[in-house]
Amino acid sequence: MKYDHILVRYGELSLKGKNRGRFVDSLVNNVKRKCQSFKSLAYKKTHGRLYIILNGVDYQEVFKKLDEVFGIHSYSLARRCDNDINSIKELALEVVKDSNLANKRFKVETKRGNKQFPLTSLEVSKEVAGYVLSNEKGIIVDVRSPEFTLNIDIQSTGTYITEKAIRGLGGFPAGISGDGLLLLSGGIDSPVAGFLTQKRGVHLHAVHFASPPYTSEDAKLKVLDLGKKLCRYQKNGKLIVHVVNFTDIQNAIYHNLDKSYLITIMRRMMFRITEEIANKNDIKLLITGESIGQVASQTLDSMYCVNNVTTLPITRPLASLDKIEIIDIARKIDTYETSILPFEDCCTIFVPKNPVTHPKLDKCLELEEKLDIEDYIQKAMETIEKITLDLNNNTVTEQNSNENSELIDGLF
Amino acid sequence: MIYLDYTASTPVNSEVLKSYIEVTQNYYGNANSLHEFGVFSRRLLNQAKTQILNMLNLPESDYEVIMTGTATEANYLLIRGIALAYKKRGNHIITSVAEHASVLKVFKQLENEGFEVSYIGVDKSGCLNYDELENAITDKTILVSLMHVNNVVGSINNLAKIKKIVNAKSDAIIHTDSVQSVCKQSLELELINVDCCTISGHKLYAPKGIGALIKRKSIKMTPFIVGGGQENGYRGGTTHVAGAVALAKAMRIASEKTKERFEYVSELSDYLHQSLSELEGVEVVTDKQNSVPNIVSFSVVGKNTEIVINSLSKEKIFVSARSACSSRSKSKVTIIDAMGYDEAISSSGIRVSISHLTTKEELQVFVDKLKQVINELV
Repeated sequence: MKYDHILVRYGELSLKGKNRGRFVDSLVNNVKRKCQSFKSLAYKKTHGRLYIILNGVDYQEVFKKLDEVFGIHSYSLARRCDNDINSIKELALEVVKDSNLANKRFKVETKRGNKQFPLTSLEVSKEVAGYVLSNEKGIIVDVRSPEFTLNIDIQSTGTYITEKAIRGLGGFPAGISGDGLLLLSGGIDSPVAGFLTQKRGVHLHAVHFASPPYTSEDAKLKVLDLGKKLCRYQKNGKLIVHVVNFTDIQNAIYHNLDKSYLITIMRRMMFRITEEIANKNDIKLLITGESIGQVASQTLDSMYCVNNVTTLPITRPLASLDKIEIIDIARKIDTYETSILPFEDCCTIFVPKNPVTHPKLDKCLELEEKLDIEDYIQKAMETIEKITLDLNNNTVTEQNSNENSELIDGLF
Repeated sequence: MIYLDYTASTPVNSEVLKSYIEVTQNYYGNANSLHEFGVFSRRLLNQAKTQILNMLNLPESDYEVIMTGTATEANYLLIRGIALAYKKRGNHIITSVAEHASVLKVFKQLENEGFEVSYIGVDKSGCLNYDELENAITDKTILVSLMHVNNVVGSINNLAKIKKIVNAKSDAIIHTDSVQSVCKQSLELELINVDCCTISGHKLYAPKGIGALIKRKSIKMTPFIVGGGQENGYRGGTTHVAGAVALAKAMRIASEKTKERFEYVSELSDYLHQSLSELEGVEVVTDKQNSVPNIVSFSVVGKNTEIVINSLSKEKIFVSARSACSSRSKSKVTIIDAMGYDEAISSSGIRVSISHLTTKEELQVFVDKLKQVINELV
C-alpha cells in the first residue's frame, strides 16, 4: 500500500478555546522533535489536524515515535488527491486494488470538512462505491458489517483517503501544564504515576531517597534507569532526579522512636524534604504512586498523617487503580521489568514487624518532638545529588559537597 | 597620570583579578563538558549568574542571565533578537536620541529593514521627555529601549515612570541599558521595573571581554550565534566562566561599598561642579540635580575639543570627548544638542568621569591645568 501521508488528529485539544493555538504549536513541535531523525519528513498543519508527508520514510518507524507523544488523539495512514470527484474515484479504486479485497465486504464513508465541495457526503460515498464496484471484481458492499472501510476526508487543502485510525496517547502536549515533582521509589507504582501525570502535560522532576549503605548503588541505578524511561515523554527529553541521602534520618527514627510509627514518621520527613526541593525549584505539585489501601502506609489514616506536613497539592493518579491495572500500564511503558529487579529500597530495610495501619496525627506530633526536624531537613538538603537523565543515556551529576562549596565561595 | 575617564573603563580590582586568574588557571574545564571537571565549571557559572541576579534584586525564578563578550554584543542580541521574535505582534520600536551607539545603531539597522522607530528626545537636563514617550506608544509597539544613566552627561531616567507609561498603553517589552548605573549609585532597585537590562564588566572593575544580558525568562529572543547552543541557546560559543565569576565578584564588592563610594564621589563632584562653573569660557552641561555624581560634562566654548583634550593629555591628564565609543566622530554631541544647547556648546563637549579612586588633589591639578590650557589656546 503506497500511503504517502500520516494524518494526526489532536482530539481534546480542539476543545481548549483561547489556549488552543499554544497547545497545538507545542504538540506540533513535540512531534517534530520526536521525528527529527527522519530528515525527509515534511509537515502541514491545518485546522484540527497535522499531516506528516512521508517522502519515502517507513511509516512504521514514524508510528513508534508518535506513540510517545502526548496530545495525539489518533493517527492514520493517508493518501492525498485533489478535491474533485473524478480524482477521488481514481484514488479510491487504487487504494482498493492495493488492499487486496477479493471477496471482502467493504463500505465507503465520507466526511466533508470542506463544505464548499459540490457533492454531499452521502453522494460522494455512493458515487465512489459505485465506481469501485464496477471496476473491481469480487468485492461486496456491506454498510452494516464491513471488513474494510474506505474513509474519505474532504478538506480545503485536498482530499485524503485514510486507513483505520490508530489511537494515540491522548492527554496534553508534554510540559504544557507546568512542573511537578514525583516521589520515585524504584517500585512498580511510582513510574506509572509519573507517566499518568505527564499525560496531562506536567513536566516531571523526581526525588529519590537513598539510604546507603543499607541500599546499594545498584538500587540507585535502577531508579535512574526507570527515570530514563520517563524521559521519552518529557518535553525536552530530560529528567532531573534529586537523590537525597536519607540514612541519618532513618537511623534517628529507628533508634529513638516507637517502631510501629517508623514508616509514618519516615514518610512525613520525606514529604517535608520533597516540599523543600519543590519550593527551591519553583514546583507547585507533588506526585506519588500511592494506591488506597495497598500497603499499611497507604491507608487513608496514613495518607492523612503524611499529607499533613505539606500544603502543596499532591496528585495520586493510582489512588483508585488495582495493582493489576497498574502493572498493565507499567508493561506498556516498559518500566515493569526494571521495577521488579530485586534491590532493597529504603522502605523495605527499616520496615517494622507490625507497622501501624491507622496512625494518629497527635501521636506523630508527639513522637516528632524528640527530633530536631529542621536540622535533619537542612542536613538532608545538603546531601542532594542532582542527576540529569536524558534519552541518549547521558547522566550528569551535580553533587553538593561542602568542600567544593567553600572553594567556590572563596572565588566569589 | 591623572585618569578621569572611569566611564570609559576601569582598572581591574585586585580581588577580582585573583579569582579571575584562579579560575582561568585551575578550573579551566568547559562548562559544557559532562565530566566532573566540566560540571564544576558549570557550577561556577551558575553561581555567578545567581549572584548577578541577587545583586540586581531580580528573582531567579523569573529572570535569566546570558553571558556575552561585551555590553555592545548584549545590546545587539537583545534588541535585534526581541524585535525579530515579536515582529508578528507589531513593527514599532522605541528608543531615545541619547542612547549609546551600541543601542542606537541597532535601531538604525532595524529601521533600514522596515521597522518603524520612534526616537524620543530629552529635556534640558538630558532626561527623557516622558510626554513624548507617551505619545509615541501605539498598540504596535513591541520594544522600548531606554538607558538608565546617560554615559555622556550622567542624566538619570526614571524607570518606574517609564514602566508606568509603557504598560498603560501597550504590552511592549522594556529594556534598559544599565551599563552606567549598576553597582555605582544604589540605583539597582529601579531595575525591577524593566523586563531586561544589559551590563558590562570593565565598567565595574572587572576585566574587559565580559558582558551580560539579563532578561525575563518568558521573553522570546531570536539568537544569532547558534552553534553549540550555550547560554540557554541564545549565544553559542564556550562561555567565559572566569569572566562571569569576575563580574559577579566585582558586583558584590561594589555593592557592598556603594554607599560610602557614592558619598565620597558626591563630595568630589560638588567640588568639580563648583570649580568648573567658576572658570571663564566653561559651560557645565551636566545638570547636577538630575544626574549621577561621577559624570560631569562641560564645554569649552569656542575652543576645539580635540586640542583641549590633547593639551591635557600631554600633561598626563586623561579626559574624554563625549563617549569613548564615538569620540572619534567630529559632529556635535547628540545628547547635548538634544538638551537644547547651541552648536558652539554641543560641538565642544568634554566629559570628566571620576570614581572612588579619584582624589581631590587630582581634580585640583586638572582644574588648574584646564584653566591654563584655555588661556593659552588660540
